[in-house]
Amino acid sequence: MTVSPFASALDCLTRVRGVTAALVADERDGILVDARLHVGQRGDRVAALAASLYRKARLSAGSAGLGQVGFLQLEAANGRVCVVGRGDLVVVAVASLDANVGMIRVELLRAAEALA
Amino acid sequence: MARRIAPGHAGAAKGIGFIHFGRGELAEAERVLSEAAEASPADEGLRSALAYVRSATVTADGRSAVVPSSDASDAPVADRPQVTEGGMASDSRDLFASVLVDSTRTALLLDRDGLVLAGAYYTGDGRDVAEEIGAHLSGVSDEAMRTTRHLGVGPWRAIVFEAEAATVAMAPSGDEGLLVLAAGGATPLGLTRRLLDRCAERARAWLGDAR
Repeated sequence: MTVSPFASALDCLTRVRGVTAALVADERDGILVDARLHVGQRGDRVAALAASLYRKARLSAGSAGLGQVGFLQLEAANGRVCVVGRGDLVVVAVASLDANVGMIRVELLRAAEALA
Repeated sequence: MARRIAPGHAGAAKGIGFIHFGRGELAEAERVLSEAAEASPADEGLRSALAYVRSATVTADGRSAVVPSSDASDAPVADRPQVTEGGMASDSRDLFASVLVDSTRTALLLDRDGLVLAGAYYTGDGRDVAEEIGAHLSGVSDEAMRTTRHLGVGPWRAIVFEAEAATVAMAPSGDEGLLVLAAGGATPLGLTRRLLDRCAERARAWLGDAR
């Protein structure tokens, strides 16, 4: 069995309290590259949505003259999605509302570095 | 000293007027600015500054309508918001000024069509590009709505992202509107999120009043 080059980064992400899914996806088409998911979670769906959201934010920020986008967080009533992009890939963490966002951000940025 | 060298210098008058204003010397501030405004009647900045100082004069019940704060000296007088007795800015572009405090932060309230209801976004050369910024960023909220709906995590409450030039935070506002906050890169993420909440409160109050 081949271990994905993202395995270590994703394992670190899933160890952060409150993180329920961690994955790497292609930012342009939202295709899932690798993931650590709980039973019942749809990795392909999360990958597509998170990549699309990040892409939209990146394009909008670019059009608005704000430059490259780094960390992005979407907060909802029952959870949050955090994303960091690097090149053509995005690293995504799905977490509960009580998760430590600061820690997730650190791990996501670290994982993004590993993608480079 | 500056006024002795150039008595009619509008910039010096504004500065000195605001120093008086900051000390609570409203009559003196008004006198300095009035003299300068008479000497330079075409100076819109001076007229604006004078109007601001006059708005701070004692109200009918004996209290001041505007309380000068230490941070107020960071920006030119002409850029200070006009404030009503209820504490709300009379110009909708200044709605969030007292919440944001720092001139590197700005907030916009957009309607469901991405049009600006309140707030402003000034570029380095002084242009208000709120409409453009609002149009570009409002699309992100549609994507957020789609994402949360498909993930089943309930309605979205906020998006925050760090860009090179600014940290941007967005939240849904009343009537399918959108609140957009942009803070300079030096503003920490957590503070940006808190400012977003405070701007949302201000927007709710303003929308309530506007109805």
